[in-house]
Amino acid sequence: MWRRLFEHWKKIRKGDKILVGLVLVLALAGVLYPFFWEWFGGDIGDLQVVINPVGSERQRIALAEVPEEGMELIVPGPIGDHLVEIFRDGVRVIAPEDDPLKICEKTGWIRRPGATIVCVPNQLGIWLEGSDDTGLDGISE
Amino acid sequence: MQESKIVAANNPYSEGVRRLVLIGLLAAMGIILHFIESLLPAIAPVPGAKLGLANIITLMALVVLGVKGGGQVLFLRIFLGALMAGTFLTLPFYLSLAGGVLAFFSMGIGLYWGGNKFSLVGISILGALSHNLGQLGAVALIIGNLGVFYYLPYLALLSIPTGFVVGMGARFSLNALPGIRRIT
Repeated sequence: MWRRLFEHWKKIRKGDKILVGLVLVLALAGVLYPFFWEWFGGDIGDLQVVINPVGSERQRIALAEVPEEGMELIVPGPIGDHLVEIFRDGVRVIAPEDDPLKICEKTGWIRRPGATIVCVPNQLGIWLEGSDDTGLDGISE
Repeated sequence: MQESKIVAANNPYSEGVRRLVLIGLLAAMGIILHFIESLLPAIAPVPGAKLGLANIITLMALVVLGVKGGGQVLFLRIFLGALMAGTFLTLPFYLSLAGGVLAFFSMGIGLYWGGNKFSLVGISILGALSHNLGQLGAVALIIGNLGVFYYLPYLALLSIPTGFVVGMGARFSLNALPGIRRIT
């Protein structure tokens, strides 16, 4: 059986190797970048959390202004209420009972800029942003 | 084997019937694989990541039936699967449509216009990558924010092992079924 597996392995072509190599390099760069973000000059203290339910207004909270013991926020949506727990060093979401997959809850803590929690059935997006890249949203507030 | 070839040569309808049966069989197997996969526990560290077993069927259909037949199998699988699961025209349906269609086109291009540069493993990795892209794009449209692409590098990394498993699955299945090679 192992010999047969090896026979199949030999059928890997050049294009496959190039594709895998390219994906590995690009994906690893993308995965590692947020971890070295502070090293590139970012500061965790500047982060703000953006809570964006589809169809209603965005809410921004600077993590530095969150009380030491953290805060809780209830965000209503079409299939129930989300409980958003905000601490100075991270944010997480507890899904409503009726959420079939609870992907937003399984995402766990987000701690880096760009990290996003998404609840598709409840049409809710929550992500972290550095305060310097507010861009258009900063103006429209 | 020899006899069936003679029958096929004598009967102008038999090729079409074989093709029809294959499309039906592959679509049914795709729906079953999709259900089996939804029963598996999600062990991946990235939210929403999965193995993509149904992609084995899409890939086999592309090889055996060509682009047109593969597309028929894909749409049958997605529409019938959604109708049976009761998710027709809901979010999971759109997500699986977006991912499935993009994966189908990238695999079709890789298979028939890729100049033989890719083996089935490479093509299924290509499919897994574009499946992720399609689903993330659909989620970004629904949420109205591109932030979900934060997960693209993680999903792209995972698409290498899952694409490998799926490509190997398709290759083993095709090797075990020498009689159905390439009906166009």
